[in-house]
Amino acid sequence: MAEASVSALQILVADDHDVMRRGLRSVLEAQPGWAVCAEAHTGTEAVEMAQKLQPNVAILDISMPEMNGLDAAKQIQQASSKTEILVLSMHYSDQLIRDVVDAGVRGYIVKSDSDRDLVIAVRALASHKPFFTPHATELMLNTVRDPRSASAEGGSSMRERLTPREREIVQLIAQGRNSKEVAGFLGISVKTAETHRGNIMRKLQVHTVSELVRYALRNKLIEA
Amino acid sequence: MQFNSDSPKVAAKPGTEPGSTQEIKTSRNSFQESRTDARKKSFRILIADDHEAVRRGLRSALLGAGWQVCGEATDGREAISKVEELKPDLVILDVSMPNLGGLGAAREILRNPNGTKVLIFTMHESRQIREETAAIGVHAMAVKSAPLSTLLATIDSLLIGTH
Repeated sequence: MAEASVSALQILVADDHDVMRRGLRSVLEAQPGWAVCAEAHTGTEAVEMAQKLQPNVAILDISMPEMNGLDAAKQIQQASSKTEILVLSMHYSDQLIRDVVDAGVRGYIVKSDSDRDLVIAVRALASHKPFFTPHATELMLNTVRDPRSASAEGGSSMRERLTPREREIVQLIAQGRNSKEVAGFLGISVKTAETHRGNIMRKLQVHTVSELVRYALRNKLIEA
Repeated sequence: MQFNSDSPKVAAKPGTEPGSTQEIKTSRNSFQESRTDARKKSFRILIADDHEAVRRGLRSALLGAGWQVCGEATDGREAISKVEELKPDLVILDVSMPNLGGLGAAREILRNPNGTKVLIFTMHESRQIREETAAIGVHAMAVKSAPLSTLLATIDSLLIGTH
């Protein structure tokens, strides 16, 4: 029987779907010495919990309400330097792999990868080694070989111009929140929220909310 | 938990006197719960989803709630053949699966009904999915973003009508 130990591997699981968190917990806790120390439903919650609990590994779904997994990953790296991050997404995408690597994340799997991949990924990260599946590695190598593909959609270059706060606001607007709700949610004035919104529209060269939603979808800030 | 129909073993709550009204009530409630638990175990559920973690999550939630999981499928075609083979009481079908999605599989399963009830488990609820599931005649639909308790309540209502 596995001995309860203070040195057990502590894992934070963040996904907005109950069923996915439960599945991840069940796979992870079947490993001797591994413990899910907390579950988060949103990116914001994941950052708060990581700061408080300093887990060894944080598993972050890419599409979560309030704050997406990538922005949460960046904040967790600041808040808890010992935490290694594994990003989970629904599907493989060139754009996403570039974003994951750019964010300094060293582990990435998709939800259809097997439980075995999940366990291997967490084990590698717990030893501070990176983990990418062969398919993800191939996509990464293709991007290196053909740098033109990196800017083919134009999304990446535009996205780099947005600040993390602006990306957060894009996500909230794309989820259907108006300026007043965005302001309330982020604890800023309505005027500041509207200024941000104006800057975002100008930077992305979009004029309508539906164009903004398309941008958010293309860049995986929200799910289709 | 073992259920003995002759003498259900019920632990009295601390502070309850043996034979008191409260103990009898507690005993009756626990007895009914045990009977429901035993009934639940007699129902067989098949899970179809292409994501292993989702299947694990569903299995764990269903077993935790007292249901029996008789099998798993990773796409719509496998779901159809396992429904034929295992004749479960309920099949839970994910909408987006390779080869054949949950709606296609539901249509096929319900073409020759054999008593298996069909529950569509979807990532997003849209008017189109609602209309399509209604047209196919699926028995229930649940959204993945809702709490698992909602899915479990739907299954309770579908199989034993307790909600």
